[in-house]
Amino acid sequence: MPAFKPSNKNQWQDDFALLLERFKTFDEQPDLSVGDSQKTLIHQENKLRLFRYSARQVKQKKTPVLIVYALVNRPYITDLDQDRSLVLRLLEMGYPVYLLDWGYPDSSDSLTDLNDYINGQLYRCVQQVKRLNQIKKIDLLGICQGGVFSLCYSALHRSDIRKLVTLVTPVDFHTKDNPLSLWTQHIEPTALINTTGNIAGDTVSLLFKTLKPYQLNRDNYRQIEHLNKNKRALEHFLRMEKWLRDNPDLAGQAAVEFMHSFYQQNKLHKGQLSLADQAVTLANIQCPVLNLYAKLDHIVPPSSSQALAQHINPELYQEHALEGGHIGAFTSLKTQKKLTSLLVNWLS
Amino acid sequence: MTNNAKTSFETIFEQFQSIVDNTIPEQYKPLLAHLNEQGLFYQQFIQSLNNKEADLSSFWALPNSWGDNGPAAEHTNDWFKLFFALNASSANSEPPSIDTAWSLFNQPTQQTVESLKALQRAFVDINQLHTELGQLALQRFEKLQQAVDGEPTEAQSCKHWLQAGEETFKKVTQTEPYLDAQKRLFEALKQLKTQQQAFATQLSQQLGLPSQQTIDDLKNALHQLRTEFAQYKEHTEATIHRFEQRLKKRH
Repeated sequence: MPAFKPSNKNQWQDDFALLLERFKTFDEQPDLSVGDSQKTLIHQENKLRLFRYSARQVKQKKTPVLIVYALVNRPYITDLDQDRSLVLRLLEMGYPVYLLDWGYPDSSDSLTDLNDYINGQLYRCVQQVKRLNQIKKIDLLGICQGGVFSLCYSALHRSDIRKLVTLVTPVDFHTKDNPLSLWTQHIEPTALINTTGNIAGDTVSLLFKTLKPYQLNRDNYRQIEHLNKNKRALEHFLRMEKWLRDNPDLAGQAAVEFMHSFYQQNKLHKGQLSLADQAVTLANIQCPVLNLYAKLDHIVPPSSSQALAQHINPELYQEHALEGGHIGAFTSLKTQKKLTSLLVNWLS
Repeated sequence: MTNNAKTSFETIFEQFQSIVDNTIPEQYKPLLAHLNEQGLFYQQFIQSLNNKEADLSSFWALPNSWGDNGPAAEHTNDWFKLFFALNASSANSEPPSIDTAWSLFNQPTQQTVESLKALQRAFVDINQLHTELGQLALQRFEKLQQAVDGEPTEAQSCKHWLQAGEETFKKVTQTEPYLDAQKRLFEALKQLKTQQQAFATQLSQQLGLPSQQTIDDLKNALHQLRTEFAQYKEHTEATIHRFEQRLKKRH
């Protein structure tokens, strides 16, 4: 074993003891509330809920933005807290913001398929937003798998969408630098289905953590000194932890279909995907598309997102890289300014 | 990891539990317990480095990276737990022996026995690869430590632990033997599940309980009903909206 220079004191233990002190007194206790921006429930259908956020006192833009998040994890990551809220940044710029929350599927939802999600639930949400705003087209902002759904939607319902933003969205699932894709080639997704007919959220979380097991399971918790110095940093850390542990189960049918069609057969990129016998051809998208990817994304490598350029008319297409990883790209304070500026310039 | 270290860290863990149980609100407890567990892992690692222990490979043992069950537990079966968590509502921390699994079935078929054997073979292969991963990561770690001018600090050592782990993990898990073992594991699980379903069908017939098919039919009917209702509601709202627009235009 090589020589090693031990430290005189146990820094971590001291830091942790200090941290515990903070939790003991009520005044010091961090606030764990998430997704707190004021909003109204405007549509509900089974587990799905569609929210409209309250407008700020700024001049309002005409076209609303509907945010579509993935089925994995919860959409309140887009409104984690006041500082790290994509929703708030858009509201501050005068955009009417709507958020689609897919909810927590249970065993009665195990037969929900991708067509139900895209041509059913998402379609009805888009119609709701259109009607409420007395408008024929809306802007769609899809994140990760929500971006995939938004792409499919825009290809199938061209008259509904004015502009499309895809954020950390996979398109080519077979790029070389995609470990998740490599693994899923060898996984029979039906084996993941549990007795409820769904795939447990914890299982999905575990699979994602397996992409970088030592970093995501251990290293993220190694240094905690900064958490004692800054209450906001502590609150952010704890909110992220809360979000990471909040994993809805995946409706079995849709999850298996997604793994087969997208991860294993790469049908979207190959132009072979169809939903309810309708071909989903990305080249059919006729609205302007802004594709934002994260440089350090280990779940959706940049090359996977950038493949969208091969499908969209170059005159309608723009792409930009964001610093950070899959989630940091839209939650980090460092990237938020650039992200907001890109979104506002492009949507305007 | 030495037994002495384990005892001392277990004591710290117990102390932590007592503080947390008595004074800290419920919502923070799981997060703090997780944080505490990770901290103890690094302390054990540092202590083992201090003690100049020769074999540190267990610090890269993958199951240790999943752990949520305490600071010093040797979670040798957590990888397996993942796969069984997929199949059962409560995960078993011990890999079921063929005998145990047999008890789930009244009269195990030859197919079931074969599937269980295939599952065990794949599991053993994956475990073997994980053991090799720990040893390879240790070798990489030693190289990284030796490359430092002077003595590596704690922070540097932890950084090297991470780098060695991630690099080796990426390499090992993309090899053919690993992917093959993983594939066999899932295939065996799928076969086992099919046989479980057949068994459940047989049992429900004997006991006069609704079969899985009946439950699936009901679920399907509920799903159709929900979809049709949502479509009907959307159609109605769209029609009302159109009428309202026409009325507005007229006035």
